[in-house]
Amino acid sequence: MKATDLTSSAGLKAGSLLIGLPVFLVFLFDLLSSTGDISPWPAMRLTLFERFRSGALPYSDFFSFDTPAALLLGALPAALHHLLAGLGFLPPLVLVFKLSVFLAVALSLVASLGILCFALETVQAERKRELKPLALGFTFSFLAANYLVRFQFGDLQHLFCLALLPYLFLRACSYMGVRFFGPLSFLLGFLAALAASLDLLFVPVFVICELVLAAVNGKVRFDKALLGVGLGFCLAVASLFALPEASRAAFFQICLPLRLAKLLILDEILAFVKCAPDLRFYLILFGVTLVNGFLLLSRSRLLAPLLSLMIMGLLLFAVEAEGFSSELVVLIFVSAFVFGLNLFQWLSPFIGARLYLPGAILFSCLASYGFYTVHHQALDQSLSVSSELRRNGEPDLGEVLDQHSRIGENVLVVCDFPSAIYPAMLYYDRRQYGYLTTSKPLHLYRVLRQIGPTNMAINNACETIIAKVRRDLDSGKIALLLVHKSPEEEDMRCLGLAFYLDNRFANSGRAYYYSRAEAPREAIGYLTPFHVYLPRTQGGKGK
Amino acid sequence: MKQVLHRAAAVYMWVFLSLSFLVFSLSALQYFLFHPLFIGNDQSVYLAMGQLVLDGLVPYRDFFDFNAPLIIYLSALPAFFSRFLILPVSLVFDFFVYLCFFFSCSLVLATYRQFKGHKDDYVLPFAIAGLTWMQSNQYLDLGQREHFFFLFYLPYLLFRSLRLSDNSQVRRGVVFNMLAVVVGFCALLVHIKPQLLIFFLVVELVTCYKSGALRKEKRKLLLAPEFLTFLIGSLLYFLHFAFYPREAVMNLLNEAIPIYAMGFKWYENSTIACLVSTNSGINTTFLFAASMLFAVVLFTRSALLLPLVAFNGTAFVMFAFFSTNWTYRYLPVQGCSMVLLMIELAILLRLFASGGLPRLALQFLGSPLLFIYALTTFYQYYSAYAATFLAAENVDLRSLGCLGFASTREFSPPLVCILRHSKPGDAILSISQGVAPGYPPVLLAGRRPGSRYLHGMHLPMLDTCLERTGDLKYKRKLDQAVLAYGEDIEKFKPALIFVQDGEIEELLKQRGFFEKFVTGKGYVSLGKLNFEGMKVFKRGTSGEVSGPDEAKAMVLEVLAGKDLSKVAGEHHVPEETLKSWVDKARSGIDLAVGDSSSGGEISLMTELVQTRQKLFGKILEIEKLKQALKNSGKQP
Repeated sequence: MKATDLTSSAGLKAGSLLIGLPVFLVFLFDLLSSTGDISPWPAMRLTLFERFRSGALPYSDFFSFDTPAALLLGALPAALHHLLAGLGFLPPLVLVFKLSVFLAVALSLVASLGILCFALETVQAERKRELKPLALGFTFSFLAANYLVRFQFGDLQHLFCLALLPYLFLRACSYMGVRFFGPLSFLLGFLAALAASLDLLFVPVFVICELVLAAVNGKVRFDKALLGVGLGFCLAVASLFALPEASRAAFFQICLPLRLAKLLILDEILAFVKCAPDLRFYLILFGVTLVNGFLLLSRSRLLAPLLSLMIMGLLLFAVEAEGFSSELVVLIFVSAFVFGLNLFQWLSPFIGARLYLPGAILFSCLASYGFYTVHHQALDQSLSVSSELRRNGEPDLGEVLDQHSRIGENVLVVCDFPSAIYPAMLYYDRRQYGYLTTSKPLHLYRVLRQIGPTNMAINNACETIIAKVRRDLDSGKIALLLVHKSPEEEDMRCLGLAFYLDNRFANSGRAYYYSRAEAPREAIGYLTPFHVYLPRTQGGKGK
Repeated sequence: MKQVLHRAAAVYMWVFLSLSFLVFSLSALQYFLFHPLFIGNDQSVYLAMGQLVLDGLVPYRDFFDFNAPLIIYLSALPAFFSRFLILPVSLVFDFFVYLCFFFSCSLVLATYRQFKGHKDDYVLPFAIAGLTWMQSNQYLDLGQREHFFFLFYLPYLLFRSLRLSDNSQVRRGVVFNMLAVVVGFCALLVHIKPQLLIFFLVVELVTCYKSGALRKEKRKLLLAPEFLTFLIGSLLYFLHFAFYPREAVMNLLNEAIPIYAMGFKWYENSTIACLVSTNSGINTTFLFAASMLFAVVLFTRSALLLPLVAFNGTAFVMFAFFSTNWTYRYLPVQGCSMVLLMIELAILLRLFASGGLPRLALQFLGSPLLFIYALTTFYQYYSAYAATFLAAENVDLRSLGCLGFASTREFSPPLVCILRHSKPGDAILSISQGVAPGYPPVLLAGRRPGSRYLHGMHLPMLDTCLERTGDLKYKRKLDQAVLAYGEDIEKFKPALIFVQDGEIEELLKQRGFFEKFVTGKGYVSLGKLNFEGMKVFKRGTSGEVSGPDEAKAMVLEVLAGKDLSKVAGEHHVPEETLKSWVDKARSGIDLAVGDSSSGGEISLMTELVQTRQKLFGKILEIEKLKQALKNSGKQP
């Protein structure tokens, strides 16, 4: 039996891998050749590892909207990097991070494809016809979807998708009557639940996907995967209560109320074009895929949970109301994945044709080249953007960071959009000092107060944060303070921090985060400058 | 006997359902009865264009717009009726839209009657409920192009989907075919905007593919009367452009469409703002997600779900593509999601309450309960609107040449200004970056447009074109547009000219508009309107324009001791507005003669910062003294 005989199970696997090979190679090449770029939120979690090492407690010593699971998982590659450094290996931290995520991608791919192929061997002929095109297009679609979210690689939503996909396939096949190896089901369920606990909003997404599966099949099927899910969620809840007392209190009294209050609050500054990333292309992809998916839903019910996940992806983006592509990863990932699968479903009548496989491989090569070109254009543009947009010779944020602070020094960047702070802090090896890992809470408090009277929990949480920021500004330990002029500096001044800003620091000019608000260099708000503040010496001037 | 009982039960249920439908529909209509001057901006400008068409003017030659002409023809209907009725044109328009809504519902009902026995017939009354739900949510967007499109296209979509999925029998009959022709004719409203044709094509393709109508044996279904009517109607519609003057067609093809395509970016919003920047946007996004989620689950239960899902998906794509957070652009998504949700409810009820006790409970308790709920909703709306109406100062609409009363709140400052400074039949020119604030006031006041450009949207759009392409032809077009304004001022001699500050004023200023065509042509400034940055110029010599700015005069009257409500009533200005002017004036006087050197929050902030700095200086001095004491060996 030839390996490329697409009617056999082995041939199907080989065919699927062959079709996906070009994307895989491009993906790997991209990963190893551009080792520097990393998306902002994972960069933040990596930098927080240093805070953990220095004994800082999460939530009480530094602010985060993340759950403990997300913080720990995010810092894991940094811990691994530290361990490798201890053993004498010194790979770049970003590379360690990327390889870790790539490993997760590979595991997710192997698990999902394995589940599909196992199901293909066991189901009836009618179901086989349903699953075959999906299995054939799986590797390509999966890797293409991963590559499409390249600039959000390793972000929480990406990790959630990676863990959820094999689980959904497992459950959907299980509803078809396929029985899987118990421990594997358990493990996948456990991992999916852990991934769902990376963010509060992932839990309802997970539950809805499970409900959709049950509703589509008209029954609830219990298997070992659900046991794993139960244990995963229990562990996630336990991790909250295992936090040190101060951290737990801060989580429940500061971070959680603000996390919930943040939902659906749209900053009015985001209403204007260029003030938040233009992501309409992804919404168009989503709409087209949705219609296409519905058209093919009767051919394969396996699409049902994927379509529901896609729709929930839209809701996640809407509910977060921040406008960054990091909130759109679920939608982008699943839309691209389903779109790829649909493509192979449409082509299923030609599976037996001689030119099917070469044609599919050629298509995959062209698509991979297209993805690579588009992403590298975006990367090049993001690198050259500051020279194009430079205003009156005023420096880029990175240059200021480099000029006015030294490696390992404490820097406080007060800014709402993470991409201005984080990869830069990581590249220049500076420490984000103090409580504010992002200035979002300050702005949120101001916006909430403008909308209406805030409740006691929010007031207390914000007053605590303001007190902590005041202490940080007064500590004399900040080597460089960069404050985005609008709205962040206005927030600070409105919330009683003006005194410390004016008297502890001296304004030493302006810098810009030059951006067109496109990934990987996203920004919000008008292109307003950052004010560069240097600590005052006793004479009252900057150093 | 059993049959009679069944019939009686059906009549019992239908009576309550029909009454509920009526009451729900009228709940929202009350709003317009209590607010007779309320009309959306775009709707008002199309009504004005409709009036111009009735006067014999040719679109794109005698007046300019970016849209296809169908909406202008449609708006000519209420404009025509309003000539015979002594009601505000806005109210006539509202009645007209409601008439369209009832017509659309009747078509769905007729489709239900004609497709009785089809396995999906039971969902159609729920589709009417969805349509009513959508209608009762339309206030500002009532009568927008997307609203008309949805009202008129939905019956076609339902009829067509049912026909194509009808395997049991080929339905015939005069009434059936007449209905097919009518729904096909109504579907012509997809030409109200060029991009809406995409909806038609996608839904048609999806429905035909799913029903197998693309296969040879069912291909004759493709050319059913409803489709043929649409096809012939569309051909005639496109052919009618051949009767347009050449100049008008050239303007449409060479000016309106290219400028819109290139310059629309000026109005775009960020992606997230499109989805959640308004409450209506948030609701629609959630409704869309919910309706699609239920559709995933119930997908196989009804042949109507796929066409509606295709419509909804296309609507979402179009909304994302144009990327503006204008609520009417999201209306097709909102409407379709509501209809889908109601149909999904029908399917769920069928699944879980199709027989026995639940069915009986639904029939005998559900329908009267729904009616009670409808009455309660109606009363809630009524009491809220009535209370607001009674609490406000009302103006007799005879000043606008109509019957009825309206709250002073409905008299926007431009409307008050127009009524005060011009007479019926005068021309008014408004140049702003949107249709508002010139429209609806010019329409409501019964004045003529003072230029071929009823709004100034083309100016920022041309500027955007110039910025994006650097092509100097856009600069020339911009110059020509300003010159055209000048020509129109010469020709129509508008009594008032409104100009919006900001980008519009800048663009006009750069081209010497004010010196050449405004102040140079005998217009004097009436000052700023305190509304959307509008500046007002009045035709006539300075001697003819009485006294200082009207607002100032009113404030002075109140400060001199005259009763505020009386002054507001005399000048048709909302009391709240006048009160806020008076308050500002009072605080201005306080600041001017008070103790504070410069006054206000800013000065307080400055004082605070200075005090803080002084305090900080003192702290440093104390620290220094402490240090000095320590150095000298003494205890601080």
